[in-house]
Amino acid sequence: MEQLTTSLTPRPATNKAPVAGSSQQSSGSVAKRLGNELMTLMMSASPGISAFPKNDGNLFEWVGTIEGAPGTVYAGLSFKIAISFPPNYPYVPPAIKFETPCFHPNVDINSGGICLDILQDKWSAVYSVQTILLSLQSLLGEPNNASPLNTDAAAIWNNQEAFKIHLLRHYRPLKDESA
Amino acid sequence: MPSMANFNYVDGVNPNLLCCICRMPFNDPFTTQTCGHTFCRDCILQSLDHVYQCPIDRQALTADDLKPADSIIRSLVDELVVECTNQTCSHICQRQLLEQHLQSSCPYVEVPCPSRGCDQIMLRGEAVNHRCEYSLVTCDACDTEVEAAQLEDHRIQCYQQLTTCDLCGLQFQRSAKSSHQNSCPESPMQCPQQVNGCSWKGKRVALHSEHISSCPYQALSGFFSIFHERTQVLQDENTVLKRRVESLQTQIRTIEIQLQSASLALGPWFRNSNLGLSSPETSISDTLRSPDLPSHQRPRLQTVSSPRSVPEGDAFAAYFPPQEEIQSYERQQLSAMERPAPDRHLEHPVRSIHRNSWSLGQGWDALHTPASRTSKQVASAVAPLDFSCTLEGTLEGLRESIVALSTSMETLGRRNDIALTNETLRLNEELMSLKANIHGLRMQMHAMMMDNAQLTGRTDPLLFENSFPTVSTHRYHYMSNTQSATKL
Ligand SMILES: [Zn+2]
Ligand SMILES: [Zn+2]
Ligand SMILES: [Zn+2]
Ligand SMILES: [Zn+2]
Ligand SMILES: [Zn+2]
Ligand SMILES: [Zn+2]
Ligand SMILES: [Zn+2]
Repeated sequence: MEQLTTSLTPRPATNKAPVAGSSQQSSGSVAKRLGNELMTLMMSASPGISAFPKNDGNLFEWVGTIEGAPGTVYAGLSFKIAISFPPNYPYVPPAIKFETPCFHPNVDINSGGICLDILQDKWSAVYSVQTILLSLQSLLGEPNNASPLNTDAAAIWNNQEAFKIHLLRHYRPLKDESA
Repeated sequence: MPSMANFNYVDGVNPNLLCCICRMPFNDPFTTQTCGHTFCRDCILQSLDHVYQCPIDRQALTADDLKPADSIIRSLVDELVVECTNQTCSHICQRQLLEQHLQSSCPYVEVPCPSRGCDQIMLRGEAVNHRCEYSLVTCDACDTEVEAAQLEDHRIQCYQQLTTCDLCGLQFQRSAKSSHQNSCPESPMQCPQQVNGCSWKGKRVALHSEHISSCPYQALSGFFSIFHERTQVLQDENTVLKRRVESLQTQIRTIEIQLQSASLALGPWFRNSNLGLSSPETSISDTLRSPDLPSHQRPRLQTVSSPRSVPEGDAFAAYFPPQEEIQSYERQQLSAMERPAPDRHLEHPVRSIHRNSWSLGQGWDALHTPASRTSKQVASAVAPLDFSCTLEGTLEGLRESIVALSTSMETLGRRNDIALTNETLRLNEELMSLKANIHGLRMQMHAMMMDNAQLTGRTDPLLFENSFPTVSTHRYHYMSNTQSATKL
């Protein structure tokens, strides 16, 4: 530990610009990591998920899209998701919520808030937007009914016919905001 | 170390060297002792600020569990090539060398002026153009150091002050110091003819009043100047010649080295120009007759080309068997050929090899001089090694002939195998039929003995058995006949 703390002290050579450097540096590295993730997302082309920064200027606000997996009650529906990265990302998880109303046991139908462990206490710095979107996609088909945010949805999950009716009643198809 | 976010890696990076947290190549990598995962030092320490867990497997983790990663990992990431973090700088280098580049040589780094009191900051590349008013200069009048900007002010008051000459005691203003130094009567002087050998030393006054008029060298000054001019011309010429000799020597040295390497590379192909270059073709055909090429025409060749002894001192003599050996070898070959061929299959390979050597010889003849073309029919039987041909060409030809030989050898071996198998089969069949014959004979013997026994008064139940082997014997004969027919 001693060598760690000693090597943590800043070098005398870099003393000239003392305060402004560190915060700029960290936001620079977050931006770099987010750019890296964006690249990975675009290159890997995972089916049914995508994400992109809201506008060119701000890398910290993204919009993602999840399509319901085939074979689930959500098949054929797509959901818009707002992703907001904190300045100390990836050490803390991004704030995530459904923009499209989503009738689901673990999603708040009004606020779009999501109850998913990896977005709270189970978050790890090695997770990425891609991990999150894939987890959300699988959460749609396999809800955790033990701790529901939407008790109505949890109650009728076992009756998929009735569930689908409720789901479609709440669902508003995506409108492209940029158009 | 500059911020890792600023590194721009020139090449693609092995994904195993990427930190899971920042997705960049490890920067100052540390490994967890509990689970063996590696992260950048900053990344994992920041992560530990939020939760005491390994980000990859959630094992409990504290800063005490971290130790610097293996040196091999460190050097792998330290040797990655990055661009200089100054966008305008095109320098690229190993990551570990970038810091040094920034600290000492990058022309786009801002550096403060080294002069005390000057607070100007400029790019290192432009520092040479900076005329610093704080740099110290020496006053020529009083020998004190003054800042450049204040030199003018200093001079104005410095020059007005009076000073005394140490030698003659004259008082004058400092501004006149340099002019007095050139005229002070007491200053030590040497004779202007010192270069020609005058050893006189004395005061300036004495030089002009006493010495010049009596100096023997001064009297000869006209001669000295002419002499000096001539020496100068000779010296100039000499330096030019020296330089020329030096360059010639280096040229000779390079040529010698080249020659040496060339002769080494050529091996036996290299020879001195004064050794037997006059008739390369004949001496070669004598010395380089390959005994490995089987040929019917070899003996005839012997009679056509006039027998010649190997030239003395020829570098090739050692590489090839002497004439007698070749001849004895050929005699053996010939006698082997005169023996009746045991199987006509065996004759084909010999012929095919001959055909190969024939075509090879034709190929080489294209490279030959007209003189050798006259004896084409004969000479083509032997693979001719020709020194007038390039080494590459000859090597190419030799390689081709080796390839041809090896294929012929292969065919020969295969045909030999076939012939041997056929022969063995045939012998086997013959053996079988002989066996059957013997069996039949034995049966007949048996029958005759039985008949004999009958004559002595007993009936024979084995009479039927007796006739069967005789039939089978006939069948064996038939089979062996058809098989030998197909073989042919
Ligand atoms: Zn671990
Ligand atoms: Zn890292
Ligand atoms: Zn540079
Ligand atoms: Zn300066
Ligand atoms: Zn002065
Ligand atoms: Zn004086
Ligand atoms: Zn003199």
